[in-house]
Amino acid sequence: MLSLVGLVALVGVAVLRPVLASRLPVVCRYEGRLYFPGVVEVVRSVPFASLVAGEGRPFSLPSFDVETALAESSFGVRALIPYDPMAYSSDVRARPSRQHWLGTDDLGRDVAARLVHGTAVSLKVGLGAMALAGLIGIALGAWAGYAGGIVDMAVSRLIELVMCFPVFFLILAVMVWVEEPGVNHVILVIGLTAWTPIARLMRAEMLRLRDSELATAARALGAGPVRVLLRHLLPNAMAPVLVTITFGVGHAILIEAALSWLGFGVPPPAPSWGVMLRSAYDQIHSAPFLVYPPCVAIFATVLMVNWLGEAVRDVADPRGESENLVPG
Amino acid sequence: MVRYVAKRLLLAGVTLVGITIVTFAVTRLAPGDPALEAVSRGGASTMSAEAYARLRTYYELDQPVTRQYAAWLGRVVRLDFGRSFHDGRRVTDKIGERLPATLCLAGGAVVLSLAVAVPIGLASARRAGGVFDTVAGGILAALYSVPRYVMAMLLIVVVGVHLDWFSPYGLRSENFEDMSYPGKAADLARHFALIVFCFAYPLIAYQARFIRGNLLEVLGQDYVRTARAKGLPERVVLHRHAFRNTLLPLITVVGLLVPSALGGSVILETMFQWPGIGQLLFQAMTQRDYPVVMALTVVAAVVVLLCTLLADLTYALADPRVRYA
Amino acid sequence: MAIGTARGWILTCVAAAAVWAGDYDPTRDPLVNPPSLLEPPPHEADRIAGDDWIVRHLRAEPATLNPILTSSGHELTVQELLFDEPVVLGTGFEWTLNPAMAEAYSEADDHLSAELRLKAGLTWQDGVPLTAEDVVFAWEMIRSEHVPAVRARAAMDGVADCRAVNPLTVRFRFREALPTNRWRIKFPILPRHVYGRGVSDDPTLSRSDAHVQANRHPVGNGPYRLVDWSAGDRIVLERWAGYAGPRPHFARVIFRIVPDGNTALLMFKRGDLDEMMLTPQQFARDTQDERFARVGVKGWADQATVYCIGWNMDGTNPFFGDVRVRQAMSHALNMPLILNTVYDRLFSRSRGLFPPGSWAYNADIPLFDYDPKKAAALLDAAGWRVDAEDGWRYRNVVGADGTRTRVKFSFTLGFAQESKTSPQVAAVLQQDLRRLGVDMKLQALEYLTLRGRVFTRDFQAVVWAWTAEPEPDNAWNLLHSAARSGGQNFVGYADPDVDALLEQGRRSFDPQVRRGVYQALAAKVYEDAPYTFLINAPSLWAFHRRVRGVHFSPMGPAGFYPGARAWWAPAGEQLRGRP
Repeated sequence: MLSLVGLVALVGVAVLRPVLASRLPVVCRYEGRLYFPGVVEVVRSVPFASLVAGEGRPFSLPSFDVETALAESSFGVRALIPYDPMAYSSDVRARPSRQHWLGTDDLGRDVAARLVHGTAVSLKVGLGAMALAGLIGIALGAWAGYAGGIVDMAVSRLIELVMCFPVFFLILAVMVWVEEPGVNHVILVIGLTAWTPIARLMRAEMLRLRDSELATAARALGAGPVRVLLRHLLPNAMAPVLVTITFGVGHAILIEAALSWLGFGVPPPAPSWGVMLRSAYDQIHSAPFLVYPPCVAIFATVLMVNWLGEAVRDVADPRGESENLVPG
Repeated sequence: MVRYVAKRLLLAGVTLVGITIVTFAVTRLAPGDPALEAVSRGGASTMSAEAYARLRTYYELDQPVTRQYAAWLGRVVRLDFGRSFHDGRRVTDKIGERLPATLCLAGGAVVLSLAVAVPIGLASARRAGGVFDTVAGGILAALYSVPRYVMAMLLIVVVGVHLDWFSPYGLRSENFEDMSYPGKAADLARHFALIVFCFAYPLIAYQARFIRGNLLEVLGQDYVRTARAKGLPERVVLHRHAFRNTLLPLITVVGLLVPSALGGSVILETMFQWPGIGQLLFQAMTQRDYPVVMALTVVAAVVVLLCTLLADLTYALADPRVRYA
Repeated sequence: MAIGTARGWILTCVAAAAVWAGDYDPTRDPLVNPPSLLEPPPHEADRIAGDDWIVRHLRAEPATLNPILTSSGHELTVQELLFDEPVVLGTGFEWTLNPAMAEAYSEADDHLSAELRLKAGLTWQDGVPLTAEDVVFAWEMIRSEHVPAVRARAAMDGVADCRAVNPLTVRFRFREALPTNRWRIKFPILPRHVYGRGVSDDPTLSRSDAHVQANRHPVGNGPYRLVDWSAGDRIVLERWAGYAGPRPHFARVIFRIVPDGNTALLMFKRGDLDEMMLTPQQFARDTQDERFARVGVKGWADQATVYCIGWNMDGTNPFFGDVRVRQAMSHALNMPLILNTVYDRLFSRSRGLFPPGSWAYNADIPLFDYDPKKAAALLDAAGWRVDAEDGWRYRNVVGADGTRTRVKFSFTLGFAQESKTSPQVAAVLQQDLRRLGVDMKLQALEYLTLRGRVFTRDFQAVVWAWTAEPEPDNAWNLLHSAARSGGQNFVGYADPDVDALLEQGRRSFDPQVRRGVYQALAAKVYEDAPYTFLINAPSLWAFHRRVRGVHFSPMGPAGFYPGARAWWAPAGEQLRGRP
């Protein structure tokens, strides 16, 4: 489906961002040696990959000036958008042109480069938060539905408790009071509050499947209760839950943008879409063209995620038992 | 039925206690010492040990946590939420004067969204897969993906400033008192329109889809086929038989929208200068005004709990199968 | 209307051309400082609109209107219209008696005591007579440790005693014979009959029901009286008929509380606000359109506000105790770019402690130029060497117990989240420092948190600002080594030469001597760079076209006497209120 292709492309953009938008060249020859600074950056930005860090020298040194160094080199392939998302310049609020495809912002930073790097932030938050929420939700929901009794009652109360708190209140409260907020805080907070619909759904599915023929058959074959749960029931219950998780990704992206808009999400000057949107709003009179790139980016991403969710729902949950996450 | 209600109320009570504990824990665990914050708010960098001790006693920080919780709970039950750290006023007053504005907003948004979503949902279900269904579905899906504050931004700049049809700020104009009654109503409506729309449009998308889906399911049922076989016109089938059965789940859904409404109010109230509790919460958070934050969280959670409870009970009333589950 | 629109279009074209040419030049913008804005009121009362209302902008909601408890600018904006003080700041930033309240002031020859005589017949807004007892009561309350009136207390620290000799005369006794003594008696007064009763129950003046009510609906003695305060929305003041001083021209002053600057500007363009403060960007760019030209004009004048970056050198971090490091930071700051892009060419570089309007200003101080090479050399000299492996700077630091640790030059710069310019300045500096091998992390904090951190000295570097007081002796509080704990010397600066200069300036009565001392002080402090001084912020204001009589003091268009009370609108242009 179109949306799947689009989303894969987005993930690709996020992972490959140092190659797409950076002052560092993708590959070049400097003082006789062949370097791959862009590729090294891609590897370094993946967690746990700092083993390869040294390979980028001298390009990875903070004081190394790419422009002057490469002036003498004989060969270099620049990145697609040859600007660093954090590098300021004096070409402020420039309209879109051939040098700056989407123009520059109030500090002369290239908007296209910031947009590309912002993809990573949004996707990290969306996928990370929902992964966390999914983990918690599936585990608790399955346990409650399968075990029943006191466990069920306790978990249901917990779900009800968490659902009572307006999610945005909680998230905002945590972010306001955290002294040095960062992307990981946002992921953690969204993940810890978005698991409730998943748990409820999983619990309902588990209740349905617990006494079904599938379970009876599995037990008849001699499987113990844990094995029945994990190997037989869980895979069959996953389908509607996957739909909810998919919609949740779009939801998480919107929440992160809202937090950054209010100033309590990813701290500036990091290039989050929400931060870009906020600074564009602050200059809406003098540079209205700055509003569109982050707007379109957020909108397109969330739309594609929602389409993907619909498609997954059509395949996995035709009866429509899963719920959309309520707009917030 | 009575047993179900009693059981449900008991469980809700447990959740209520849990709400109070979580709220209390979150604010007490938050970094920053209220006594020290009071000092720096007043502009001082140091203060004598005696004055600091006095402040700690005033904020009850020198007592064990459980006693603090019990004392706070005792006051909350009597609706005494203490005094704001920011300006010393009673928190109950501060919330009371702003709650109506937010309730109006939420109520207006629910009414508007239902008024728009029901016809759209009905029409989409009637000719499922047709032109209207696809187009409406597409537009709604697109709307659902636009963040509220983006829509608010666009509306404020385009409609509020350039076109000047509606007033994007505040509750009422300067010379409100001088207006005649129809004038006052018109003025309120002008201020109300934009923010309610921003509040309501994602709800429209959600509810229209819900109604459509639910109706389609209902329309496939046997009794509907019977009604059609009896020769009843489609319109009657739809409205009198099928829709009635969608009504109840719809009420449940509306109840679930309340928490999201309260959350969404923070950004919108700030942007539109709407003096409601969302704006109060945001200000209280940035000012570290813990009593206000605690009170608002408890109030919001209780409201949500009540709505969920009501929705569940209404559902149980109508659908006997639920009571005996 | 057609003329107005045509004028608007012409102005827009001219202004737009200026912007497109790339340079915004406020001296060529016809909307800036038009003669009408500064026009004093005519003598004929019928040419003034006496029933007009003015809608002013408040950035935040005041927590209290009790004059001894107020601490932030927006509280003072409202409170100065409700309360009169006997001693005020005049239009030239000078010490002056309030002609509506004070009759005379005389200091003894030994400068150890003084007498202030009030006018007869003054009353509070509820009719109770205003006497010297109210002055004494205020002094006692400010002095009381339970009342959180730290701002006022710091000012009157040198007053040893204050008593009412007769109902109209207050006698002060000072601790020392200083030329600044008469500034010490500049404090607000409180109605004793309102607060005196509840003091024993609630010595903080801010907790009991009665006191909270009094703080929100104060009984003042100024030209305006509070009639309505709807929380979060607006505060309405009405002219008080019983005011003994000059009658203000606007019948009502309505303060709209609008925290967001964009929203406020949009409201201004719609005609819902008559006055607001502008950010540099709003002044240079967002007010170039026809909508603004139709309703507003702009005011631009020097102001005594200084922006700087403070480096904490109290020893809790190993970086900023060395003057070379601080100077390196100053050289690493790309001020030309910042002036152009962040401040839109509206601000001028600061030359240190005293703003250009002050008599202690030293125009000869050489500015730090943007020189990354010099910065690198200074850092090298201070022992911070670039590591060849990872490019950052390191130094071996010897701890108190003798252990040597290798420390990376990595620190955190805090700034106020709400500021529109600090994050940008920080971003620019971060990039430049990165090229030098210094890792500066940015921390945007909400203003109250930031202030708390600064007051408790819990920071490494901070973007800070203050408004210079009219009396240069106030630099003592900022820079003297004794002010490191308890005063406002947040960065922990201690230099014996500076201490000596401060003492000398404080004690000599000869104006020439004082001038020389403070100029030398400014030069020394600039070079020592406990603060890297950035800019002097001017007043940037937008007014509705009909507002006249605005005068810009170093405090801005208000904050002095007569300030906002002297604004007026011509009779034919009344916009609001009941004619």
